[in-house]
Amino acid sequence: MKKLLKTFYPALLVVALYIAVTLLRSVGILNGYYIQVMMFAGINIMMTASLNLVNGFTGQFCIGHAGFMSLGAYGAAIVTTMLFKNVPAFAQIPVFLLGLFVGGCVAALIGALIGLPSLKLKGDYLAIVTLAFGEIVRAILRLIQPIGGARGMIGIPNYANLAWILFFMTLTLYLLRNLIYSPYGRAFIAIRDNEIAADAMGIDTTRYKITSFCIAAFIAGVAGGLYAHVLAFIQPDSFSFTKSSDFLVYLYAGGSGSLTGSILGAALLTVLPEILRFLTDWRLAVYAAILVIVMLYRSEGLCGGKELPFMRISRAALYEKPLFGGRKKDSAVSGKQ
Amino acid sequence: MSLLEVKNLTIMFGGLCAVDDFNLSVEKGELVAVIGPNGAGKTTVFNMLTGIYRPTSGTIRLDGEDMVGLKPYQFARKGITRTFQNIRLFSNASVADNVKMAHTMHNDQDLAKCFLRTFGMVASERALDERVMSLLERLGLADKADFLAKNLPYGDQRRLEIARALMTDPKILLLDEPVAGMITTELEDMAQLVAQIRRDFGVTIILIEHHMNFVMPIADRIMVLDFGKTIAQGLPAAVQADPRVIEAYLGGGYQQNGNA
Amino acid sequence: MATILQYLVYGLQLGSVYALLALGYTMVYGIVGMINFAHGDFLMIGAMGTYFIAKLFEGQRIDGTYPMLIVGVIILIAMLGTGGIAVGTEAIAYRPLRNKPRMIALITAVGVSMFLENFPRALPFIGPNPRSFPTLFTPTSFLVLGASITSTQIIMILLAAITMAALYFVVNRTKIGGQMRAVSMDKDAASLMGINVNRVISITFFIGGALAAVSGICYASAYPQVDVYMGSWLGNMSFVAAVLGGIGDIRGAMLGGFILGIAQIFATAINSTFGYAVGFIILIIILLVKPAGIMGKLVVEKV
Repeated sequence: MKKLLKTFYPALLVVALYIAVTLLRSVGILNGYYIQVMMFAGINIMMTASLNLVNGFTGQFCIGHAGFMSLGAYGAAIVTTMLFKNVPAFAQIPVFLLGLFVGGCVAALIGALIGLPSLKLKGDYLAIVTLAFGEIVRAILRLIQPIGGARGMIGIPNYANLAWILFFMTLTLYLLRNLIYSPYGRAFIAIRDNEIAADAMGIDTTRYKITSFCIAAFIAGVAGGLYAHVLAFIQPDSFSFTKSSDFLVYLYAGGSGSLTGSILGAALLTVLPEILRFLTDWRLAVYAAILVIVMLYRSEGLCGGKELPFMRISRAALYEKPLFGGRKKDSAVSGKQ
Repeated sequence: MSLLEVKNLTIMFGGLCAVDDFNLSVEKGELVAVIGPNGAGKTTVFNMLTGIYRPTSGTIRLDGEDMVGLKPYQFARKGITRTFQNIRLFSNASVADNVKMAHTMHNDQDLAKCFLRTFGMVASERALDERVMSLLERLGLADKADFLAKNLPYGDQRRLEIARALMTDPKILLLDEPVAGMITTELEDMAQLVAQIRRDFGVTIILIEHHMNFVMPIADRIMVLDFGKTIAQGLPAAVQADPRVIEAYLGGGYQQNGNA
Repeated sequence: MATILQYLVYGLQLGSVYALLALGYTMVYGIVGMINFAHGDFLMIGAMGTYFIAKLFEGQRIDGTYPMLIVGVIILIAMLGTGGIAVGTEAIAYRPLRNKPRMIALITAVGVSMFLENFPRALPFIGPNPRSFPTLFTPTSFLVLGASITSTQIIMILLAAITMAALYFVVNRTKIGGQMRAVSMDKDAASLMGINVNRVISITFFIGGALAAVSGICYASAYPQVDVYMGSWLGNMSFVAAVLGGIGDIRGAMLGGFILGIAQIFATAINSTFGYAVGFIILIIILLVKPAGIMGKLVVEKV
C-alpha cells in the first residue's frame, strides 16, 4: 500500500487539486475566470514541457513552438466541428479524443517535414528557421477561407474542461519523465551536451533530433487542440511569434532541462499577469520588469536544472522491488548499490 | 586479412596536404602508437578513421569492409570508437549516464516502452546499470558514478572518456593523446590502465601521443608522422634510434641520444 | 514597366528600413554573440522620440513643414537619444549576463522588448493608440519613366545609404572599428591587448540604436503612423534579413535588408498575407542552400 502511494502520489495530488477546485467552485469562492486561468496554465505546462524536450534536453533551439500548437488546434477543431453535430452524445468523447490525436499527428508530421532538412542547421540558424516556419504556418492559415481565414474559426465545441486538461497534463508529464530517463532520453541529453561526441559514440544524431522534434510537436498539437476546445474560437494571429516567445520565457524562467522548472515557470507566469491585473495599464510593463529581474538574479531559472523527486528517476530506483510481485530475476539483484 | 587496413590515405585542405599517403595495417589485439610533433597530422588521421573527415583519396577497410564515406556514428557502429584529445564528455550528465549513453546504439528500445517504462524496460535498464557499474569499477570510477562529468578531476575525465568508448564494444579503440596535460606519475597510471584494458577487453588499440616514454613500454609498433608524411615505422626501439625521428623531434643539427 | 519601377522604389525604401535595422542585429550578434530581440523596439523608440521632438520644434515650422536644418537637428537628437537608451539597456540588462549561456541573454532580451513596448504604453502621454507621424519634408513628386517618386523617398533612401557608408567606413577604417573587429573575434584576447571591451560593446549598442532611430524615421516617413508595437514585427523582419545575409556580416545585413524589402513589396502586390510570408519563405530556401546565409561563413567546430 505504502509502495502504491509512493508511486502514484503525484497523480493523487492532481486529483486532490481537482476535487478542491470543484468544491471551491461549488461554494462560489472560485468563479469561471479562475478556472479558465487554471486551464490555460495546464495547457501552457504541456507546451513548455514539450518545448523543454527540444530546447532543454536535446539542446536544439526551437523558437516557433506556437506554430505546432496552431496546427494541432486547427486539426482538432476541424475534426470535432465536422463530427460533433452528427454523433450522439455518448460518442462525443471518442470524437474529441480523435480530434486531439489528429491535431497531434498533423503537428508531428509537419514537424518531421521541416525537421528533416533544417536539423542540419545549427543553433541560431535552426532557431530562425523554426521562427520562419511558425510565421509561414500562420500566413497559410490566414489564407484558407473555409476555416475562417484571418478572421478565425468559430463554433468549435466548448468541450475541454479542467478535468480533461489536468488529465492530459499529468499524462504528458508522466510520459516525458519516463522518456527522459530512458535510452532515448539519454541520447537526447548526449546530443545536447556534446553532439560530436554523441556522434562518435554511435548515436545517429539526426534521427534522435527528429524524434525529439516530433514528440514535442505532437504534444504541442494536443495542447493546441485542448486550447481550441477551451476557447471555442481560434484565429491564426493567436499563434504568432509572441505566443512562441511566451513559451520560451516560461521555459527559461523555470529553468531549462528540468520538467519541474517547466511546471513552475508555466504555472507561475500564466498566473502572474492575472494577479497583476490590479495594475491596469502598468500590468505588462511590471510583468516584463519582473521577468528581466528574475533572469538577471536567477539566470539558471527558478529550478536551475533540479527536479522534484517525483519528476526524476534515480539509479537507486532501478533496484527497488517492483510494484507487483516482480520476476525472480529482478529481485535477485536488488541488494546492489 | 588484417583487422584494419588503411591504404594511401590522403587528405587535402584547400591546397594543403595535411596527411599524405598514410598506410597502416593493424592485426587484432595489437597496440599501435602514432607519434609525431605537433601539427604532424596525427589527429587528422584519427578524424578520417572515425568518419569526421572524408579522405581525399585512399581506402579504410575494417574486416575487409570499405568504410570511406560513412558517417561518424556508422564508424562507431562498425566498431571503431575514439576518445578526444580535448575532452568531450557529456558534461551535464552523471558519470554513469555518460557511459550508458555510449550504449545507445546497442540498446534500440522501442519508443513506446521508453514512454511507458514497462517492467521489461526497467529490467533492461537495471542490467545496463550493473554492466556500467562493473566497467566503472574496473576503471576506478565506481565511487563517482553519480557525480556530474564536469565536476570530475581532469585525470578522471580522461578515464571516463575511455570507459565511455569501451561501452560501445569497439573492435578498435582510438586513443587521442590520453596523457595530454598529465604529470609524470599520472603518466604511469595511464600506461598501466591502457595495458590493462588491452588485456581485459581484448581490444585493439591505436593511440596518438608525443610522450615517448609513455608510448615506448606499451606499444607493439610505432609510426612516426611529420608534416603529414610517415617518416618511420617499426618496433619501438628501432624507431627511437632512427635519425629521421630524432631530427623531426629535436630539429636538425642535434646529435643522436636525445629522447623527447 | 512603370509599375515595376514604382515597386522597386517602394522596395528600396522598405529595404533601407530593414537594412538599417538588420545592421544593429548583426553588429550586436557579431560582437556580443547574442540575438537582441529588443532591437526592433529601438526603432519604435527612435520613431516615437522623433514624433515628440518634432512636436517641440513645432514653432519652427514654415508652411506646415520644417526647415532642413531643423530636420537635421531633430534626426540627430533622435539618434543620440535612441543610442543612449540602447547603451543603457545593454549596461542594465545584458552586461551582467555576458558570460552566461546565450539563451539566458536571449530570454532577457524578450523581457526587455516587452518592457520597452509596454512601459511607454502605460505612460499617460504616450498610450497604446497610434499617432500620425509629422511630415518632416515638403513632399514633391517627380515622374520618372511613368513612376511617381517623392522627394521623401529619395531623401530617405539617400539617408540610409549615407548612414550605411559611414558605418562601413567606421568599422573598416577607424581605430574603434578595428577594436570592434578584434572584440568580435576574441573578447578575452582583445581585452589582453588593452582594448576596453565594455566600451567597445557600449559603442556598438550606441551605433545600433542610432541606426535603428534612422530606420524608424525612414519607416514612419513612408507609413506615417507610430505606435508602441511597431518595432516588434519590423524587428522580426530585420532579424530575418540579417540571417538571410549571413548574421554577423555587415554587407550581408545590407544585402539581406534590400532583398527582403524588394521581395516583400512585390509579393504584397499579389496578396498582402503572402507579402508578409515571402520573407520567411526566401529565408528558408536560402538557408537550405547556404546554411550560414549569403555572406556568412560556416564555422566548423574543430575536433
